[in-house]
Amino acid sequence: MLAFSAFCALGCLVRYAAEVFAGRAIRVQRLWATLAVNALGSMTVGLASSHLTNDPTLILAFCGGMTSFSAAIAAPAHAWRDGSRRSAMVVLITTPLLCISAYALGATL
Amino acid sequence: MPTFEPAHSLLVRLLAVLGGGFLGGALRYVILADFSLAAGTSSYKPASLANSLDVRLLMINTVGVFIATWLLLGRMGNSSPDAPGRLFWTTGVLGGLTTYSSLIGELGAIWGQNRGVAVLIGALSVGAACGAGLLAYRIHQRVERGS
Repeated sequence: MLAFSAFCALGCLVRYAAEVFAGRAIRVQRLWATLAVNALGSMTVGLASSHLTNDPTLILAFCGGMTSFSAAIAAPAHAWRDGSRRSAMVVLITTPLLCISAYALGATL
Repeated sequence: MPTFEPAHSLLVRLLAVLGGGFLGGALRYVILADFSLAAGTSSYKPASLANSLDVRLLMINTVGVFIATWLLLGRMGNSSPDAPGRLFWTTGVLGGLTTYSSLIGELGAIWGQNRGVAVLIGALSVGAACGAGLLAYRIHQRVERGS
């Protein structure tokens, strides 16, 4: 459980780094970074599902920390309240579609 | 888009994310792992290999969305996105507890067996989470109007 939690924490750190990078370096709202890491994490799980024969627990721990269902919904809700309604709707709708596509891409690579 | 200058040091922010993520991950493990008390062992059965809907994953994602939306619409949402408390609870604990990748992995595994069921479970999961977020949004609006 300790290793699982540690890998999950590292995944969270990668998500936070992406959000900070999005906000400061490329000057976009953080919810776009959340969308990107959710897609990246889904693609990684897709890759693992088709190529990995060993125990995938730690990969699932890391990707589970990197991706976040709560942020995928709560961040657009927060943006919606602050007036960024178009971004909120786009992120809300595209997240599941993009994550499924990324998983399929990862599984076929 | 409001911009905030982080008032806390990088180390404090990193520790908040790591600590919250560790706690969220431990909670997810405890909730999703299959414990064999008789044998004194536990194993994390990833949903993508279970080939069936894991109701526990559905629950933690839905409840996590409700709590995160509630927190972000409250005072925590008005603080800096780099405030340690916000990083610990939303980015760390709730981010580590809820997961998009496991759900997608689960759907991918079910897709290979029954596409209709995979679409149904996907719609149910996303619909329940959106409903939880909307519920938190509505309750929050009522509370704000009442106070």
